[in-house]
Amino acid sequence: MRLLHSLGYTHVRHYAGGLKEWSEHAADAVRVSAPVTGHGVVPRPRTARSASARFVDALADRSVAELFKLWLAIVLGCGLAYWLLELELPLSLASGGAGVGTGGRGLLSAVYFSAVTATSVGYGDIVPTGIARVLAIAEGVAGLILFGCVVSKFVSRRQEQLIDNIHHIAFEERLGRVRTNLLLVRAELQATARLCEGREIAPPEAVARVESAAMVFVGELHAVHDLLHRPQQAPEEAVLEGILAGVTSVFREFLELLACVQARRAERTAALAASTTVMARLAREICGDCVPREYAPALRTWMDQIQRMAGDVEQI
Amino acid sequence: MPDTAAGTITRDELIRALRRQRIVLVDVLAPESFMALHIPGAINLPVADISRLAPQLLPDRDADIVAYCGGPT
Repeated sequence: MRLLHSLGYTHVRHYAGGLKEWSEHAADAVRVSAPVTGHGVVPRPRTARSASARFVDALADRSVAELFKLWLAIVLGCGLAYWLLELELPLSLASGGAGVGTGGRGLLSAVYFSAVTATSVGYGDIVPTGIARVLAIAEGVAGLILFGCVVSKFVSRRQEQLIDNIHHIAFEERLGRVRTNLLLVRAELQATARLCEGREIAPPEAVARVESAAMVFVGELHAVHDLLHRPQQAPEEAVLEGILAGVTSVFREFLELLACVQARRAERTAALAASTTVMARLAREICGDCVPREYAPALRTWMDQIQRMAGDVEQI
Repeated sequence: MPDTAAGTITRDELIRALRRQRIVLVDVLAPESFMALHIPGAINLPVADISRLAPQLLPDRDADIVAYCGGPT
């Protein structure tokens, strides 16, 4: 921390408890959510569509509350229209041979008829005649479609939530696996390094272990490369930073070990050569400027480091 | 860091500051330790690489920075 001061940072404080104290209160820690910046949601490409398909899409994009309000507006609006029709053309709405009337009672009856029509109940105590029949049929069809939309919304919302959950769990598991594998590869490389360092000539089993560790690492590098270049779901930046930091440290370990094995006159096998070629190719495409999304400076720095190491792995 | 009260921060203060997102939390441990476990929202700035990485990761020298390491020191 004194180091940070000496670099010119003025407001540096020290959380003395450190990671130990923090993780002892893990339940509390969960409540502080990491700021998640920008989810990589790729908009669905909209191709040319027919008018009816666009209409259905427009309905599907509305919320349940909006659809319900629209339905209510149709009921009230049509009710008012029936009443106005009754004013202009008496007997447009008839109840037992007589008009429903033009006063307040008439308006109430018109709205009642409108609601009965829109719900497709159709008691038949009030019947439309003439032009009002056309309006009644149109209202009935519109009411039915909207009602169907609302019901399907309710059902599909639950399903979408479920599918989202499943996607999320699968994704988290994959991230977890990448993290674990990186730690395992690192441990393996360190153990192999001990085999190599003490000897005059690197033993064959050291080469074999480097080989298999390199293959696993290439697999994980593939996963990280995919995660950065084709993000279907963006991990929290803190998680991503952890993974990138892991990749960097494994890479460094691998480079050291490779140099050690090489220096002790061990032949580089074909499998190892193939792994390093793929490794360099993948790593070259990981840097702050070459991934399609904009990331925080911390993440960009790690990515740039990985790219630099691609050059190192080619030189060895 | 001199051991003055102003220079340290307690756990509760840290949680409040993180909620308000007013600070930059820096984990000065090695990348592998950071990968295994870190406080949510922290960025990794290993002690060994501080002078090299700090200008890139912490461009604002007046920013409110809280640093932590493994345990009580």
